[in-house]
Amino acid sequence: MLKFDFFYLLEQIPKLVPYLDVTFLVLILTLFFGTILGFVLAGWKLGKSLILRKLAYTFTTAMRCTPSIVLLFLVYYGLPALASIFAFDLNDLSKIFFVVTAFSLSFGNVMSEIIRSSYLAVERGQYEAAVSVGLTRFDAFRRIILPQASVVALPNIINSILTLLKEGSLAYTIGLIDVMGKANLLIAMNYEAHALETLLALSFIYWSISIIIENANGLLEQKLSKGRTFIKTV
Amino acid sequence: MLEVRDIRKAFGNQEVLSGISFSIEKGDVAVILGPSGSGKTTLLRCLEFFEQADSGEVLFDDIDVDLRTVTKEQIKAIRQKTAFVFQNYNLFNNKTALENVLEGLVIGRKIPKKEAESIAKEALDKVGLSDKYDYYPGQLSGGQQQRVGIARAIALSPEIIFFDEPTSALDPELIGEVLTVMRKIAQEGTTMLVVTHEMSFAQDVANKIIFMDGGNIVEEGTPRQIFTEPKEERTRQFLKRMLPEYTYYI
Amino acid sequence: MQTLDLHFMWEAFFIALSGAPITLLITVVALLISIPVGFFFSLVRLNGTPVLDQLCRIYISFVRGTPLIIQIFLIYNVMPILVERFLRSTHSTMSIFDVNPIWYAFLVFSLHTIAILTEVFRSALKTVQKSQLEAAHSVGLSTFAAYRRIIIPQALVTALPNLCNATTNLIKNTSLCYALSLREITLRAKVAANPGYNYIEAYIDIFLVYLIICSLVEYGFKKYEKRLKAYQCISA
Repeated sequence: MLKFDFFYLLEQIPKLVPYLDVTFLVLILTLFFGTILGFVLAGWKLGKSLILRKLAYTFTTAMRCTPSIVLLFLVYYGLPALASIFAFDLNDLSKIFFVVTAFSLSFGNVMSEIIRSSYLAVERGQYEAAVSVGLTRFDAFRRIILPQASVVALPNIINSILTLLKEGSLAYTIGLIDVMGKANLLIAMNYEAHALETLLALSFIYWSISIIIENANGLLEQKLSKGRTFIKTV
Repeated sequence: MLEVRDIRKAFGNQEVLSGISFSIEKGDVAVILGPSGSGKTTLLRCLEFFEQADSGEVLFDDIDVDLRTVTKEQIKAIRQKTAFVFQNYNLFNNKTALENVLEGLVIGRKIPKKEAESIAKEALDKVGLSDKYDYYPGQLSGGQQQRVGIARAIALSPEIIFFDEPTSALDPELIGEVLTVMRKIAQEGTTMLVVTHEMSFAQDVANKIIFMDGGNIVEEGTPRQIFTEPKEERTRQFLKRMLPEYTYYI
Repeated sequence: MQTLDLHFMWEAFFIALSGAPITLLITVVALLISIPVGFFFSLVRLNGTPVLDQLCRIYISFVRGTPLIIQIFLIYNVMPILVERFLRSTHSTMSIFDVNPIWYAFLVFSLHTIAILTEVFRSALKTVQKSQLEAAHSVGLSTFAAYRRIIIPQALVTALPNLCNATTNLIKNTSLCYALSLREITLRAKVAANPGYNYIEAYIDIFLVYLIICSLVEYGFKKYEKRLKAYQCISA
């Protein structure tokens, strides 16, 4: 009953790998826009304006409670509708635009929390010492706070990138042909005959990428903790 | 050189500084004594603008500042003339000892690197850390870290150095090395304003004692005046607690 | 150009809400299974038990390294066949189509959450100092009692925020169960939206339902966390 064709699995891999370029394109674009959004939101959360702070936190709550698929569809259906109010026609836009927009919102939210918490992890005394020796606020931030905050933030950021990679697989639901989308096509084309092999090939691809990223993360953490004082908590 | 007039500061309903006025001359080594909660640390932090005082005036040489309406430029100008040594050292964790001292010189005062390096090394030598230029704070003991903090301050050649309980966070054995350094720079004529509990320093090195309690200056004078003939009862009580008849070491 | 069909939105909201029980059922079952198993595995990982530890690591690596949707598809492709075999071998008259897909959902989400919670518990237990166990032993507690009365309560406080995260993620991830044709929140609302193409209204409703559920869950966790922390002195 269970006809498992191992060679079929191996054959699928080269069919899928070329479509990784779409997957990575989406990933990189999302990283770019999401990081910008993350910095803006973090700035609002840490800033003095009450309105902006409330806005940022409301956004965070909304994003935290929304499944990726729901967000994706909201953007996919909602954005063209919104745009049509302003007489913009978004119907010809590539699927990538919608995917990147939706995931940038969600990733930007995650980034803002990482940025905020890693900034707060650096003791205030570091800033005070910096200005007491004559550094401007900008210099103090750039030369003292940012390097220390980055060390705290980096492992979390890499973890989030990994999560983003996996969430990105849902883009196929609006028709994006990335590596996941292609796998679905292959399965459909064969009338689900060898779905298992294709799925396993797909899993293998994702798993390999994850392992590489996790190992890189581990190495990075080791390198960064050489000779540095750990941010003391308590 | 530094004149402080009627500084007031409240945290919420709690008034921490209720009108502080005093003056410091060049070369003075002034020590502020007082029980915890008397506002000593807050006063110092207000002078370096880490806290915003509610009202008062600060006259620093030719800079006249109203603390209620102080501008960023005035703060910057005063910070250029002063240096601060923190209770928790606050060394830049991501920089070596030498880089810590260089930071204020190269970036803060825009001194060219070569010149700054020799100034920095001189400062570190003066505090006895010539062999620790390239050590990170995490690799140094508390006493060593605080000495780097002092080196960082003296390298800037400020007109006055503020010390906020410089030895309070140190293990007893390490306090001595820091006090020795402070004694040394005092003897060289550095103007210092020190908040501390170290009575030996107050008695031997200071030339001016300010006793604070409950947000006010209770009494002011030379060490001789304060320690042998205190005028106020509160001063007497405090000294009695801090200087037991028989000292013993655990 | 178009305005929102508010009448539909109102109705669809309750249609979406009607899927909540299934969502919550899957969440609760998955948690009930994964918390004890995850805790057990975290101990295995911390102790470094020879074979089990490696197996755990591979298992966790796979679950965390592949998208959940793929895991769902894998189970949905493999399980029916295995179940069919099992049913044949026991000469049951049930067919695989009688098996409610919710069982597959229980399986996938449990397997997924076990992996996540193993890591959560592992890092939470690590934050409790070894000296706590030593102190417990020195006053005569058995290791089991020490864990139960001293170590786990302390680890729980650290674990709670991550547990809250895992729970809300679980709730959100159940939206992927449409692939199993499970009539939970998302699928019900989508189906209702099909006739009139009221997708936007439907997705807004779906979003609102998840928002309410997740907010309640977060609120609940925060209150519990506060209660736990009340018995804990925060040392200066």
